[in-house]
Amino acid sequence: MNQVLPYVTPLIPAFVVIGFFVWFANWIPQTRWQPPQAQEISAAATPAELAQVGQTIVRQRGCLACHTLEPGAGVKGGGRGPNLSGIAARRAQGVKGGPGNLVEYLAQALYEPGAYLVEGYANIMPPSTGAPASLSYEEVVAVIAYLQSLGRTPTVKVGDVPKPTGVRVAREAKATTPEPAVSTDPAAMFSSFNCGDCHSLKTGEVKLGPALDAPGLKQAAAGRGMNIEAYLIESIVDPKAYERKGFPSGVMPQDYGTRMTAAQLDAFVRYLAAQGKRP
Amino acid sequence: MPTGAGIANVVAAGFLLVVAQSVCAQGPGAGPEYPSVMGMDSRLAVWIAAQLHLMFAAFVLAVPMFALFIEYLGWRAVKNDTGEARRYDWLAHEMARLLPAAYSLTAITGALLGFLLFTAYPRFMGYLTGIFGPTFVVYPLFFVAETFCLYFWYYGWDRLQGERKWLHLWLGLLLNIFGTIVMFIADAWATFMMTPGGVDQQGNLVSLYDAVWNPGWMPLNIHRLVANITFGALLCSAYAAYRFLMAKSPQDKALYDWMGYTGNLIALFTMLFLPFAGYYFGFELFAFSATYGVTLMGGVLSWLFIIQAIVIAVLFIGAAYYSWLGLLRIPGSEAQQRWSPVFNVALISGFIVWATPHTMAASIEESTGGFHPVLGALGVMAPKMIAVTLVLVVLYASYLLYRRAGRVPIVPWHRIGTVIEWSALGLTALAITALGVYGYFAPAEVRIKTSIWQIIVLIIGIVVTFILDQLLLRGAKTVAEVRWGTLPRRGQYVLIMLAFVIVWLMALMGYARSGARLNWHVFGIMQDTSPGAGLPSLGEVAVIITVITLIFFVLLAIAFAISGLAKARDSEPGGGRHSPGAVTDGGGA
Repeated sequence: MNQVLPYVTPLIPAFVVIGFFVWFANWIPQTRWQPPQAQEISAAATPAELAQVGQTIVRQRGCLACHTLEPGAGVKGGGRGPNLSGIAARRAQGVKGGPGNLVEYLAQALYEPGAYLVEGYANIMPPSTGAPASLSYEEVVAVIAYLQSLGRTPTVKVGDVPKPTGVRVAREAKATTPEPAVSTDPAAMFSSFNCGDCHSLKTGEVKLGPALDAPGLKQAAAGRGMNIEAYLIESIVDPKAYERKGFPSGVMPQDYGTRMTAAQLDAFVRYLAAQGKRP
Repeated sequence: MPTGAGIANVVAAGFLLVVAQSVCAQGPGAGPEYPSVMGMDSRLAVWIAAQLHLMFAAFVLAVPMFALFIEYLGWRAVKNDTGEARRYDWLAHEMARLLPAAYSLTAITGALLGFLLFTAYPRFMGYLTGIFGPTFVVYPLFFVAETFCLYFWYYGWDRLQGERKWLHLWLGLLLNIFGTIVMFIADAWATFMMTPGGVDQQGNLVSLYDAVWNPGWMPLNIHRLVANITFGALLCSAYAAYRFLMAKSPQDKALYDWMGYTGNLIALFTMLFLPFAGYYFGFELFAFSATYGVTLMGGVLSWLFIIQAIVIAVLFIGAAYYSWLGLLRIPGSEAQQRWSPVFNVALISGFIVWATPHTMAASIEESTGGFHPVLGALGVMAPKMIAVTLVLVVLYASYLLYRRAGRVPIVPWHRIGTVIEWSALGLTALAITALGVYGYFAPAEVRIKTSIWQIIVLIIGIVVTFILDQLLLRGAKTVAEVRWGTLPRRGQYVLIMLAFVIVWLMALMGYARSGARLNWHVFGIMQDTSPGAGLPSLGEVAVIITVITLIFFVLLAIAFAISGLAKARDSEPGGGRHSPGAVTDGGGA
């Protein structure tokens, strides 16, 4: 033992330091990264279904490592890339000197991100069909549908978007484990998202926020110059964009646009709009 | 043993040549995609084998570089001071003595890695062979040439003395040239996987030249050259520390104290350039695909860089602490010693900024695209560049103080000269800070330029003050000799700890480089669709690289023990052909 000790003792500080590194590496948040799973997308998928898949893709493929979803921040959020919240409303007419409508603009932005750069942002985005996102054509359509839902109602379907030319589509979408189901029951959502804490569906019943009754919604949408559906989407996704007078400012949570899936948003807006359209 | 090791190396090289040729003959499409290798986790096995091979390769590539330089210094000194020449020659030989056994382990781990890669990833290796076929043939030839040079250089040390020394130096130079070529060839394969060039969008070869000289190739070559020297020097220091602790005679203690000091000095010197070499590599990766920047600094590997910053902080502060302890060898150095706590605080502050992330996302799904509201200000590049560059200024200031210890300048202008010298260093720090602050508010393309200017300012500051210091200390009166062999034992413990830390760091960064590709064998060209294509958690990574570190040191200890068994009586520090005599103040740098 005495013969071994002189050889081992000098190692103790080294072992302590390495032990600290191992402890620290195990103390910080632990995440195993798995390659993104290809999404199963039917050619007959509705825009709302596509948007729901698109939202999953945007989260899983790393889009939000640069882009933000900051309601009310306009094009310039706090990220390396432009803010995506409200993009559908902002780019409804495409861009000057480029694609003249939203879908074409989004397709170009995904296939050839450097073709048009938002002022103040560097040309750092890789084509979405290449590494690392490697979107298939159907996945590109789904992402476009999701981006459409950020400020507008998604309308795009598989086949509406041109396939890329000169850009290699990395692989075809394939069957995979389906995402866990989320509730699209509007009444349940009204409860689970705590909407009832501030809003009432009863005519004339005012809580912290305005009542979501027919007269109130009609009046507010008209005042904003929108139809009821568009007004509701904006109010949920970007509540700061327009706040009704007589109610406290900045109370409505800003993150419903990211907490709700596109399908949920679609169902919820339809539900509330039906309330507003009641005679 | 030497002959057997040499044969083992040549056999290993031959094995690689045969395997490469056979895969070329197979073609990229042959065989199952991911066959199981004896039921083991292929990715883990390749990871361990690759990392061990890289470490031994780094060691055997780096040690001949500074050993040859030290031997050259001895050869130059022989006309003026034979004692100094003998000491340098002893030091170079003592460092080279670790090489033959380590070289055999490099060859064995390399052959194991080749076997695992070609067996577990046949399609990927088939593709790589299709791209780099000619280099797969040339590589073993240079490897064999390196092997011959190493063994002739090491075992011809005694025969090629005196008037034939120049021949020995040439052999050492050839060894270094062949070794560097071998590394550069292997770097082409590794960087092609990250930043592929010379191929079309389908991955078909268009230009072998562009595939080799891909965007990441030269930055990695430079980064590895510098990092390997740091790595080899710290391992030599650890060896010297052990020999110091085991030494019985004061003379042996003095020699190994000097060897440890020299190794640490070499490591500190090269460490000055490492952050810049790393940033250069990072810039090129980012320029190739911004995804790398996001993955490494703001995505799934962002926490890894916090660990890296802590590990590097331990490395820098440990090396600086050892240097400050060195002042204890010099009587009358109290004036210099009192600065140590100040420097320590400066170093720790610098590393806190360096370790600050701009986002705290634990996973890609957690990313929100933005910077952290509080940490974001320190987490971006501009403050990090200020911090890391000022850390280097502090380390350099430590070195200047060490040079002053025990010496009194006698030039008549020494007072004003000292004021100018330290003012110049202060001005350098100020300019670096000002450039960094300007860069913080400037657009990205301007910010990159300001970081380059920070490096230029640092180099100018170092060169100017070093020249001034040389002039100031011309003919300086030595009031106290360096008492080699009197360093406290804790200084030797620090050297051993630093060796473990650099090995752990190298394994960590090896993982980072490989992990940054995510699920791609060749980024954007060939996906890894195997079950092991994901990334483990950082906790698991830390455990695996710790195991790799321990295996490496066990193998290295065996190698050192074997070299100790083979050691002839005449190479003992106390006597014989390589006897260096007593080391004096002249041994210091």
